[in-house]
Amino acid sequence: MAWGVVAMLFGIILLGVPVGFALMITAAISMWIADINLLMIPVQIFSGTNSLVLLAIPLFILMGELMSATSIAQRLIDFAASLVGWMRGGLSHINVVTSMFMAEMSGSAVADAAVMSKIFVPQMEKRGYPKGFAASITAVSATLGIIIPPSIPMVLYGVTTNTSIRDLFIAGIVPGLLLAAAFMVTSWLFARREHHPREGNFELKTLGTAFKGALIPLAIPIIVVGGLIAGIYTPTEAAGIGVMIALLFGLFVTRDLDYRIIWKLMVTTARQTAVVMMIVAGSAILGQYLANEQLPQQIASALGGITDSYILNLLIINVFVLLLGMFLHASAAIIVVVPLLLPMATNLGIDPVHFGVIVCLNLGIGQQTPPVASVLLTVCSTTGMKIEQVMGYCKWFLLAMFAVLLFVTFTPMTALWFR
Amino acid sequence: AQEVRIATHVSAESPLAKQMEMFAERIEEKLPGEFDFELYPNGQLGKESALIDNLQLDTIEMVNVASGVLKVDDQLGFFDLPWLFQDRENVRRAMAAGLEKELVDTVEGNMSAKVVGVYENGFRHIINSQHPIETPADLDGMKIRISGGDFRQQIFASLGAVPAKIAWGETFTAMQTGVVDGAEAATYGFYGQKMYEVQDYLSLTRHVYTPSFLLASPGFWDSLTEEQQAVFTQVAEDMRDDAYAQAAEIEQANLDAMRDALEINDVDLGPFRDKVKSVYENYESKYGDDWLQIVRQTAESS
Amino acid sequence: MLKYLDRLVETVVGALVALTTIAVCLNVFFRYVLGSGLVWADEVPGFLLVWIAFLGAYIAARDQGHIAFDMLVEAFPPLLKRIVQVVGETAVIGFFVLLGIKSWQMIDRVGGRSIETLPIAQGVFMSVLPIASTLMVIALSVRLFQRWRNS
Ligand code: NA
Ligand code: NA
Repeated sequence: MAWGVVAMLFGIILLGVPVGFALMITAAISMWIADINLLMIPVQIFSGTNSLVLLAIPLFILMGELMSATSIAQRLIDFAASLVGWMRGGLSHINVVTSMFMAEMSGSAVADAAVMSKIFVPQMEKRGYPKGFAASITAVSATLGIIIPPSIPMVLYGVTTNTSIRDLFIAGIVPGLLLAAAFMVTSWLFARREHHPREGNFELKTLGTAFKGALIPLAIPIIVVGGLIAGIYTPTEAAGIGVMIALLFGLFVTRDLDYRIIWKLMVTTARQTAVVMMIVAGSAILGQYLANEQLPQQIASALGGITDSYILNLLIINVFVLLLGMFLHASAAIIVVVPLLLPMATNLGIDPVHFGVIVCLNLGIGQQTPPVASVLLTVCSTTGMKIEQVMGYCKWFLLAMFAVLLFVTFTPMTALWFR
Repeated sequence: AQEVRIATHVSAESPLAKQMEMFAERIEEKLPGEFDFELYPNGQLGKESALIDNLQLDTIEMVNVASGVLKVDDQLGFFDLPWLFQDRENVRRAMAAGLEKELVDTVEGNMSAKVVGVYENGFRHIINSQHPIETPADLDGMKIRISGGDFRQQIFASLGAVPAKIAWGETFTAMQTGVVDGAEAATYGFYGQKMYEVQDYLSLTRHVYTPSFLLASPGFWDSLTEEQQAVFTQVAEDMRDDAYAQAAEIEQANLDAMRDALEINDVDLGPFRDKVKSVYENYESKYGDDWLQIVRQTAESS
Repeated sequence: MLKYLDRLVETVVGALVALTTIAVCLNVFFRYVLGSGLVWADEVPGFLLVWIAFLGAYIAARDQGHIAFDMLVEAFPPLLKRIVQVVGETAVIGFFVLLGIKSWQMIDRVGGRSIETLPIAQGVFMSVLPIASTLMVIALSVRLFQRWRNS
């Protein structure tokens, strides 16, 4: 029965029905077959989507949108350029470091990829980088958006598994930095082989000026995420405060926001929120159906019985989540599947927070890999390229991501150092 | 056998989950093979408000829930009156003296559900990281995570505390980081969430008592034969004493398990009651003092 | 005609996003500056999220913004592709017809219960489900009709 449901879900998705609606249709049909009263559907949708914690999602989206609409990105690029532009393959490093800064203000890799590819890919092309390489580095470094706090997938993971979102956010910091380092090393190797240019010499004075320009943008995440970590407010409140600061900054410091733009961004935010929340709503009813049929316990015990080896089990979990990430939208993978995998992980003695980071890293890789490669496809569509042109370069960066994933998987300290 | 799903929003170790187990076992003894009970603790079938809606819509056969039921009629705000009952004995005597009947009638009159049994969810106490709460002044300036509505928030605010309504799942972290200084809940909630790991004082303030409601959906209830209905009612009534005793045992076991991790103190309720007199006057002027009389007359009868 | 409906939904949704942001920030302000919580602000914005999500779904449906996996379908021969798309869209419309009816019945029977923090019936907040279902059926049917006329 469980496999029938899975097959139906994938079938409907493969036929081009948006993931959230596919979940809803699958749930409705399954419930109808199982003779469950369909009045359960609206009850479950309403109770599954009204949540103060999930409200962090539109607020973090709005915060990211406001940031992208201001000249913050340019200020961060200037700062990154003065910091790492002197290295061989300068623009690649600037790209990664800027993505790292942007990641501190955004919770979605897709949003970051859209902004960054418009800025970086043409610039890198002009400086002689192969377009496919430029697109690859932009796409993979956008992954930092969901690893470095804040992160919408982590909010979803926290809500579904009842894990502290604050702890998840802190746990993402070191793996995020490791990823950034891995991307820089990979691009440096490319730069040496393909003779990528430097961007000027290192100058303390330029660094100073650029730092001053980037001071406020850099301070925003410290207030938002820092206040959250310090326990001044909850994740949702942190996001709300982030929106307020970004608004004030855009209105009065950079002055590139006006009421018309803000209004438009709020509507865009609702639209993007809807896409995630339809998946939340669909998963709520499908989850209800599965629980009603007591399937989660069956699936969990089926997965748990494969082997006793800790390392093998961890690898199995990774492969499983990775495959899911390749085929499912990250939000759907987390809400539908993580509840089934978490019992197995905790049985192995894996901390739920550590597991959350592992899941997000896997999904980050999944966002770069076809068929469902949300981030890579975003970059391709904004730059007018085909996936085949990008994959040749992208695979090396994916290799770097795998290395970080394995390291983080087998070194829990990278995530849990603060405990 | 007829399939009967019984769901609760709280953990499998809570009094509520144990009450559903007890009920299912005893029905099985009396009517072997007639029903196939499936128990769903832990909110597997949804949070409390969803369970209550589902029950009334006939999509779940039975639920065992608590304060959510009290939202169906304003008069049931009675159970939100602070420091209403002295202790568990007071509760039992008041319920036996007619309060339970009033409660059942009011609930059934305001929602489409059959009240099969009324048992105990428990007294709510305060856990915190600052100092033991002995007098109302100890609450001054304390940031406390509360559940429940506006009414409870006003009472805590009037005592000088700063109420915050943080999601239960975020409360542990909020305590750890100091977003709140403490929380109010039933003992099994503190224990189940391991809050004793991050808090230092548990004061048995008994500020609110919440009953639990074992409910049957109207469709399911009507589908039973008269004999079956009679057995359900009889079993529910016969298990009342055991259910109260079990709830008391669970609370005691949880307190004992936490005793090494934090300081537990008993609280003299007198000064707290004096502080909230106006709340009672307000309630009486709206709904009369019939229910209050029952509680007061059964307070000291031992 | 539909343009006015779009404008109306966008206006409501924009206002709701603004309102929830303000409510969330006010709550922090009240807790730290005024030393008292704003209890309704811990519950009501959660309900408004449902409104934002489902009205936003209409906006996204109007400009094909819902994420779908279309690589396989794109590879189909034109006729098969059109059939699959029509079947898929009809299934989604069917779901929202069902949701519209069922959510209406739900409100009719349990909408009267008050929410926790304010004396407002939960049916007020639940009403977004039948409203949004109707909107979704309109948006998707229009698209289906346009697709049929263009082909
Ligand atoms: Na981020
Ligand atoms: Na993918």
